[in-house]
Amino acid sequence: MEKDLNLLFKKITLEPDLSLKDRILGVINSKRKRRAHLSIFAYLGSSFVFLAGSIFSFRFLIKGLNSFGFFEYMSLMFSDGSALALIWKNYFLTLVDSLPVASLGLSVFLLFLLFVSIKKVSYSFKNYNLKALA
Amino acid sequence: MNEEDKLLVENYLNGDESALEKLINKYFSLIYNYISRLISKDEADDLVQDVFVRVWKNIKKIDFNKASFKTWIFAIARNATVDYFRKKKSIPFSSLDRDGEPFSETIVDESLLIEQDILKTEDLNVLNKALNKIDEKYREILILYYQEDMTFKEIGQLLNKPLNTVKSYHYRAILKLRDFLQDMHQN
Repeated sequence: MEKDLNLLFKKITLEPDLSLKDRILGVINSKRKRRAHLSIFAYLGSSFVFLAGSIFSFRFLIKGLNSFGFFEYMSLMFSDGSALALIWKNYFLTLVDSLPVASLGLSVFLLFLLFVSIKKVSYSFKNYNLKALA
Repeated sequence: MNEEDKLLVENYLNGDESALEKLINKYFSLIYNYISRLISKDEADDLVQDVFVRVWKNIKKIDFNKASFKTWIFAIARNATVDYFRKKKSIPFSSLDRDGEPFSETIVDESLLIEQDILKTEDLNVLNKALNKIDEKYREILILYYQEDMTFKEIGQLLNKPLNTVKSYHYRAILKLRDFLQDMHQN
């Protein structure tokens, strides 16, 4: 009985216009392309910002390392290794102390963001397919 | 069928664009039919398009532990239809909750007799007209159950109603359809 009613209802199934399906696929494709454009440009833009920020903070870091005498302490390691073996604990603490922590932290953070942005750009290219930009 | 849909969704999420097209091909006719029965055919095209765009946008959020793809896509279609009626400021589904006192399950057996009456209908146009005269909430149940081959449990999930309520709606829908058919035959 239920099967008969199923058959009866199936007979009055409405048939959609097949062009509608093409229209739907077209709309999704154009939205996909738009989304691909937006995400690629957004992540490329942020990558450039983080790259510029990284360069700036890296220069700031080098400046800090120079002014705190980090490079001088480092050069000791290559000049007199035997003397350093005796005072290695103090040497290590001084070396750490000569690090410009703020600019070092900022540089690492910006490099991390740059890495994430580049990864997102490549993911967007891969996921949405380069054809989408055509 | 659920496993097949799940695989297609997974393939799509892993970068296989053709999997989405396969899903659209599979559900296109079903969704069109469901929506066309609830709103006018002229406006159904735009709403069907809207449904599939929503599917594409939200496919990452699907949780197969909660519902099958079929139930999920029909829920999207239903939400889109409710939004459509809201925009038009007529909400046919709102009355769904008012008269939902559950019938006992034995009524389903009784409905078989009524189904027999409907089966006597030979003119499909008459059936179509009678179906269009029934309230949206009852028409929806009949379409989901008989045309979209959904179970009462799946319909319950979709409409967020207990199983017995769905069965009672089904019974009333059949009853109303039978009455309309009888009226039409008499006229």
